[in-house]
Amino acid sequence: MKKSRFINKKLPLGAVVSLLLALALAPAALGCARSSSAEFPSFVYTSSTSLSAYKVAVANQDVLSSLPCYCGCGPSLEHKNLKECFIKADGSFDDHAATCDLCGKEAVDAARWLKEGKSVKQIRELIDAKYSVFGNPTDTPPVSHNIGEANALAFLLEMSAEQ
Amino acid sequence: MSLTKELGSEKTFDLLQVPWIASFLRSRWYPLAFEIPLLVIFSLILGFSVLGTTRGGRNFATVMTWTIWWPLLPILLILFGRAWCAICPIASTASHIQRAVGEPERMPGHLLRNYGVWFMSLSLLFLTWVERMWGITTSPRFTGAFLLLLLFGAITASLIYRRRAFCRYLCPIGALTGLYSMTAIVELRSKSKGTLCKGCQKECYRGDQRGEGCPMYEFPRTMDSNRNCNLCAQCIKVCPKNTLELRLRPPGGELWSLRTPYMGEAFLALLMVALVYLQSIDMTFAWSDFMKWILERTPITGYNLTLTLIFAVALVLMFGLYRLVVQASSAASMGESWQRNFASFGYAYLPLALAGHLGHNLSHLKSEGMRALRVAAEQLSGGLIPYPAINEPVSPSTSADPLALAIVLVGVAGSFYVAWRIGKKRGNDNGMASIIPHWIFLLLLSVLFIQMFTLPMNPRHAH
Repeated sequence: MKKSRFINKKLPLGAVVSLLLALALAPAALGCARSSSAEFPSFVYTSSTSLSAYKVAVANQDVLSSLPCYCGCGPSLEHKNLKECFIKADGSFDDHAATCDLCGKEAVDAARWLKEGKSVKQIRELIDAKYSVFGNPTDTPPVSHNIGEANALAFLLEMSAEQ
Repeated sequence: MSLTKELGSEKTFDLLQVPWIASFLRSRWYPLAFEIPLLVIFSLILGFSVLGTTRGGRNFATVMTWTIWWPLLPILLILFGRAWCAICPIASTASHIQRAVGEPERMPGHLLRNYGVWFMSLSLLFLTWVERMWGITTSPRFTGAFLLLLLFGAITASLIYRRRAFCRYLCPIGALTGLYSMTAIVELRSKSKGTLCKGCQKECYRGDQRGEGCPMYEFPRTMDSNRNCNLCAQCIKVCPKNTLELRLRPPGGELWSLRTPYMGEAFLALLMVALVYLQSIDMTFAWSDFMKWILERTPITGYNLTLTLIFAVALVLMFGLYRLVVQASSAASMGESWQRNFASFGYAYLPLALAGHLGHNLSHLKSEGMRALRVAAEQLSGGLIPYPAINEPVSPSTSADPLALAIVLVGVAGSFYVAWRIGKKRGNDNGMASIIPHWIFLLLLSVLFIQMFTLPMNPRHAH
């Protein structure tokens, strides 16, 4: 049989073992525990999108409570707004948005528009325009006043601190 | 008529002795009768992937590709060998274009012939990583881009090389279908080990006025494996002496009887074990617990970076441990090179990979298949066949799937058995001793797989 070019025949076993141990122990050796910005339950860590969306949701609860969700959770899960896809009325986390890509995308879009300086009313219009093709919205009352600017500032500060 | 023939010590059942099967395979309708409807479905998939909704669970393209076809593929491979590759719409489109513009003369060179399997393995690894990072299976647009990329590759290869160079040496799905087809219950082989072929003009390889030769560059007379036979039946059509037979056999028999085990294929079998494990574990709740632990308790930041590191560590562990196992096994078998041991025993891990793949995907098919078909019907009919529940989210399952677990247990038993047969073939005490390190490694992998399949799994398309 031909000699493989991928694994050298003379590769010492010691090197293989050392490499394996180094890789396995690297995280532990590097480190001590570090605190996270929020204490999320495990289901939030299902995917990258889920983690980003929950971070955004926590930072923008007021804004998200003024936005409808178009994923279909209104009729089926009795959600009243986008915030309830992430955070229940009692303040605990809802696992729905961990596997629902639409809720995550809506929240991330909302945060981006907020960062761009748009008002909550404008964000709602943009959300309606972009996501209404996907289904029926939650029964979310129209935006009556311009909330969210304070949250936007807080969110911007937090994001710039993270970066 | 006796359908069972005595060939030396081997009893075989030749499906070509069944008149309707033989006449269908020899007719011009095979594989055309399958190609046409699949080309129509493929065109629809491409159309919906580009123009349809961006929601994966509600798009014809994603549900048909990933919820219906992908789980059914391993079943097709076990039942019919690599026949999927004969009717694959991507390959048949490329072949039809090749015929229309004229087949080039050039044959694949040294690089493709010797390193094709490595390229296919690495592209499969890359695709799995991309899938975990950006979600090909949940995005209609990514699904369309992936299929178009394969189509572009197949057409380009068909314009450069004769026959199906893409299927044989480049297609990442072909890597998987070739490997899994080695466990199939059918095989196309020459009768009496080719003794009846004396004096022939090698029509099965070269083709003649009645049809083309083997599109996969195989010479059926000497073929001892399913890995590169796509059961297109070209050789059956052109063989002047009818020396080919389509035998039924116990699944997986060739894994321990191969004349030439290849290191690249052994590598791919091991890679599949790792990829199936990674793909399955990250749809369980254990994965999110693990990610939470890593992101909260280590200095590693960024979800995707962590995911990439986990991939890298898992693969290094898999192949590093296998290298140690091979070292121990080849030492026990006195004088066998580690490369030979690596290649021979690598096939023993294939039943475990296949069972994991099948179990995982059948679970998805069971829980999401009916919904996928309803979504497909609703999309195709433009809403005329309504599916009111289309807007309802799919709840994550709360218990493990017993069918998936049972399939994995069969795969575990299969892997242990194949390892035993590979060792036994050496025919001495040293041969048997060489099995033990592989059994220990298989035991470790089996525990990991069984433990994973006792966990509930998230749906592929939650919406």
